[in-house]
Amino acid sequence: MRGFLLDPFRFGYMQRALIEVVLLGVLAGTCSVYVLLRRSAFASDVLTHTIFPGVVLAFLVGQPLFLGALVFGLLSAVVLSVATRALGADDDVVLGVMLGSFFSVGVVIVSRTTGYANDLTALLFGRVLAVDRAEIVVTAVVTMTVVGTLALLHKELVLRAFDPVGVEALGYRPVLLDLALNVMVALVVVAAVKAVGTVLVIALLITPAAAARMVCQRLGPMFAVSCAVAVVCGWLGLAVSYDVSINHGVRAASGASIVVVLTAAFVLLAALGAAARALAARSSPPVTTPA
Amino acid sequence: MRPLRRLAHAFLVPPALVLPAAIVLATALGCSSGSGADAGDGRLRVVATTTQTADFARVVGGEQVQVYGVLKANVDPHDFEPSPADLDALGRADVIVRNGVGLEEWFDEVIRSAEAEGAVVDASAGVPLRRSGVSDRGAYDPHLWHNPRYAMRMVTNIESAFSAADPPRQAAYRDNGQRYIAALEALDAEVEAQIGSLRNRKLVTNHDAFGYLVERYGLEFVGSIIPTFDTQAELSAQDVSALVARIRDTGVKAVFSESSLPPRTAESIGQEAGVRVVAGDDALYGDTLGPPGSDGATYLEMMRHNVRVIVDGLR
Amino acid sequence: MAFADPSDPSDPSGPLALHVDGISVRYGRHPAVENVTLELSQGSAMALIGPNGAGKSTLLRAVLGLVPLAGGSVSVLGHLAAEARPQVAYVPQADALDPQFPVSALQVVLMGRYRRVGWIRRPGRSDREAAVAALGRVGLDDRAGLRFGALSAGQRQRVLLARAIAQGSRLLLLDEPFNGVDATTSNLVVEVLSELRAEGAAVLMSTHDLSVAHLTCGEACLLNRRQVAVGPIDATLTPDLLAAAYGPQAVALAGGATVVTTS
Repeated sequence: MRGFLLDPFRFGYMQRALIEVVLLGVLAGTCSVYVLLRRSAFASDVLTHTIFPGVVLAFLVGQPLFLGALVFGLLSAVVLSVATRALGADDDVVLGVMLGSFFSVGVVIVSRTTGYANDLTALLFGRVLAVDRAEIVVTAVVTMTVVGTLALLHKELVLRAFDPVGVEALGYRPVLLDLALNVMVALVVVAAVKAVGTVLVIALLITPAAAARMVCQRLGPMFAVSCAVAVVCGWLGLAVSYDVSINHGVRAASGASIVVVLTAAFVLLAALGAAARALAARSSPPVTTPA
Repeated sequence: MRPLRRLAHAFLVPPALVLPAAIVLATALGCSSGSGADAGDGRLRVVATTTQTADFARVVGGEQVQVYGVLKANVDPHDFEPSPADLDALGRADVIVRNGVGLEEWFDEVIRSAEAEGAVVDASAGVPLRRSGVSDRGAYDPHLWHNPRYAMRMVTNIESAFSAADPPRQAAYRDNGQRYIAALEALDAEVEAQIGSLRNRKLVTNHDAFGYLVERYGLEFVGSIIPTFDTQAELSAQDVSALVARIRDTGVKAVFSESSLPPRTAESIGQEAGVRVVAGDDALYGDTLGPPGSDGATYLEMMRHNVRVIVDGLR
Repeated sequence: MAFADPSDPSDPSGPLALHVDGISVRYGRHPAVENVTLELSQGSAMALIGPNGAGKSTLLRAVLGLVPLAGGSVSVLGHLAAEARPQVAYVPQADALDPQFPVSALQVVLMGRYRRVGWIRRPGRSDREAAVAALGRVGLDDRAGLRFGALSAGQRQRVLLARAIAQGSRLLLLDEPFNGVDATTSNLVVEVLSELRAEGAAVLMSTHDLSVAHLTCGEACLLNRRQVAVGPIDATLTPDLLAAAYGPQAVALAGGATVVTTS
């Protein structure tokens, strides 16, 4: 077991992958709690698709793909926040339209060129084993920026998620708070593109907090558990994909392995949470809180 | 001051997170990276990217080398994801053989990531390359091995690299190389005779992988389903009807699909144009060799298979 | 918590807590509120009475500045509604909030202090003390640490009232605060509201419950999109006017009382 967990990380490329994954664990673990509270899982998923044309365009003009992802990430966050507010009801419709339109524009652009396939596959599904030092630095900067910003805006973001009318009554503008969170999500997507790709990053944004929610009733513990789950599953995912590749000759994409482990963690914690609640219900009779 | 403390709180990764990372890094730094490599048996460690170069490397190296092939048979080399096993092997290799000409687009990134220190040999060095008629990114055709005369050049390049990396066994490498080149000469003559006997030489393939074969033996290339050297482009509707028209007009006898690509488009175009589609076991080996035990497991077998299928199809 | 006011030479008791002047609100082309006027002095309480869909919630939102006015104006303590938001505390219905949300009762009450705390900073000791005190006033200081959703409906409503108290505002708007709550909550809320009035706060409260309206409020405004009546509560909640506002829902009882059925 000790070998399984530590052996893979003798090599430079695995060490770099691990550092990247630990950073992403903290980043996504934190952000995912706000996504959960705000119930913006679908909006976040849309963001992962609207970033795609940005990536394609950056590729075509020979710029770093990270830059294209960043520009379109921010643009999407703005459009999303403004459109859902301005068009009023049925956010899902706006979001669905955005997802479809942005993504197809990306596909149309892509279909006019040739020879893009390989880089694009890496973008869609990640290539964490090829992470270099520059990318780690970028991830570290994004992590500090996003976690720092979320910490500074924490109480307002929680209020916005809890009481959408009350937050406005107190004098805040929900559009700006939503915009801030969407921008943070866009940055997470941009940072995670290298490790797990745009298709799977949504798992990083949803599963850690969902798993934490299964066993926590308060925010403080939720953040801790969410980050811990994300980091540990990242580590385990890398170890697993390494083991099956070296010892069993099976190709298991590292990014996807991380997501599979994350999902297993969610199921485990859900079961644990349910069991704990069942035990608690049995050991103490239901307390009717007197009025 | 409180906001600062709040910020500091946010940046402080809780001990629970630092601890595992610290343990891992400590262990990692404690061990030397990439050491404890296997096979202390003194053999030259070679990593070859494609199945063709792996085959050449095994032939030239014989018992003196241990060859790890990155791409497996029937896997599209244009679209590939490196695994830990690949990176490990690259990190330990003494010689790394690549096809070159942009076939392995992912190569540079992977080499860098694996921190490979072995000598990299570009098997295509010195070969006169053909260009594409369609405008393409990286516009040279990388499928040079389909011309046995160019395969000879690739073998020579590999043999030089082995000899440079492992001087004591130079004689053996040169010997193996010469013997194989003789076999390639024989193959070349054989193919020339067979194709020479064909009256209808019109070739339609799945993607434009056989340019060097066409060039060497005087086949007539009518078109390909995927109009480029790599496998990711798609024909527009206009291109499809143009190709179908060309097939009908020029009297093409058969459309050939390939082992590493799905035959669907080839089949529908063949149906549309009313010509036979050669697929399944008879599919051509365009990008890779076949798996062990198949008709195209080695280069020589692969070439003979392709020629037999083409000649049968066009007779 | 005293609401001392700097002296206004024109009016010794200070400016009106709330002055709604002929406001109309439209959702698209559909009029929700038409030409409503009312005045609320500091220290008084007014009940907003009307059937469902009469525009009570819309009126409250207009006072909060959450919806655009199609006509008329609102002033709070002499200022425009948008500028005066810190002075207005809103108590929504508790069932509009997600009971699964992982916040404690104390954290909810603290939300009322956020404007005072400002961006970036965290609530300090004085804020916590104010929040605990507010919870104490509604009888829930021993449940401060419980999850908001773990409390009963009535207790949650009280927490929201405590939030408004913690905000320290001089105008409180309550949206159906007695809906579906138990007797203890009802009594407590009535008591707290009268305490707040004595301290100088003004209360505007929408409700269905006529008897509670009589208990807590000195004035009433009868609304059915248009203003049916406004003034002292006894003069406003007469059988005729109630019938005009509620239509077939108003039922006259023997003895001169009128009840309103919820359809």
